[in-house]
Amino acid sequence: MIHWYGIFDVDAAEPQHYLGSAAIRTYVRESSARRHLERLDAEAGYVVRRLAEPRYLESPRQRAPLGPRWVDLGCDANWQDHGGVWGRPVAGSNDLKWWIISFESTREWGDGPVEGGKYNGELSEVDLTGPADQRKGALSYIGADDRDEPVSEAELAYALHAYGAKAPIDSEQGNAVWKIVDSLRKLARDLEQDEQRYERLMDRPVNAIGSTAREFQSGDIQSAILRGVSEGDPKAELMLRLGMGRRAE
Amino acid sequence: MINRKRFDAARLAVLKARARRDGIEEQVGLRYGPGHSASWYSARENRLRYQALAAYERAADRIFRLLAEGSPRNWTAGVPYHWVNEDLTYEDAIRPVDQPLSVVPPLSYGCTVHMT
Repeated sequence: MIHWYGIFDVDAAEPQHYLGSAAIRTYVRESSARRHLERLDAEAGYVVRRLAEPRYLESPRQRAPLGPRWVDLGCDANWQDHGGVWGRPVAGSNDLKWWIISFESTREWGDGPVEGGKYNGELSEVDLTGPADQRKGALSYIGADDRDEPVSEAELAYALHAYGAKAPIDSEQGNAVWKIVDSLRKLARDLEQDEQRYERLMDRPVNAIGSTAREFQSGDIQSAILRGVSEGDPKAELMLRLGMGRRAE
Repeated sequence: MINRKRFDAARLAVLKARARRDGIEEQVGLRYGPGHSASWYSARENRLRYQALAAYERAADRIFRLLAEGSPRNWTAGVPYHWVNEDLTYEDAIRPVDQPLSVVPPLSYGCTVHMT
């Protein structure tokens, strides 16, 4: 039996809750723990603790959850604990729109358990033909704007998703990992065959000021503010006063 | 310590499985064109695609098993799965944690600190 030790941020008051999160800097084996402890004595900000559950290290990697059509956009081997993101082109879009499924453990969200379940998945759509400044910003966000090699569609889709240029379609929360991922995969497939439902989801409000999913995707907050102002929404009035929208001429 | 021959053999298996998988995906992509639906695939095409994915994952398991046995670092967190399978060098796999890696590995989804 190999015992493993984790090096944690010292701020993580209860390191066992942070297994698998970014709070763990690295893992070391028992045999080298003493050497690490000696080295780390001089370093502030770290603490070494024996891990209660070495299965995180011993278990073989987790299987791809979505089949061969979905492209892995940078998950690590333990996607159930650390989160994952996959994408595929929307059928009929000439590969210019992508479905993106992101998955994360709600333990990453903050202290204590989250109501609704241990895991959260979200299906969203990104449009690779969106505004040019948005694409540029997204590529710069992932550090791919000054590269000589051409950017692949998958990379651009990932960049737009990470940048926030996405239309949120649906999210699922629960404790059953495979159920969440599978239901989002099926929703993506169903929406390709049901245009009315797709349009309904794209036209529904997705934030507090009432931006539709379509507006959210293109980074347009002005339409929702002006709509809210014309309907007498105080939130929209406030945002307009803060200079986030232009009053219609 | 990871056996060099076993590591190289596992890496070769991963790269072969990857080439096969890409070849199959390219074939169906050319056949149906951009923007096609997965529901158009024949049963044979689907079988080949799933077999190729499973072969890739089996080959990747060999790499991860070797790393879990003999690498001083944990490669299941903070680094993309495909990068570990296809780009991680033997020298970096066995490098002690008090020595920096020869490259800066890319970040995996949700991670903000590069492995060093």
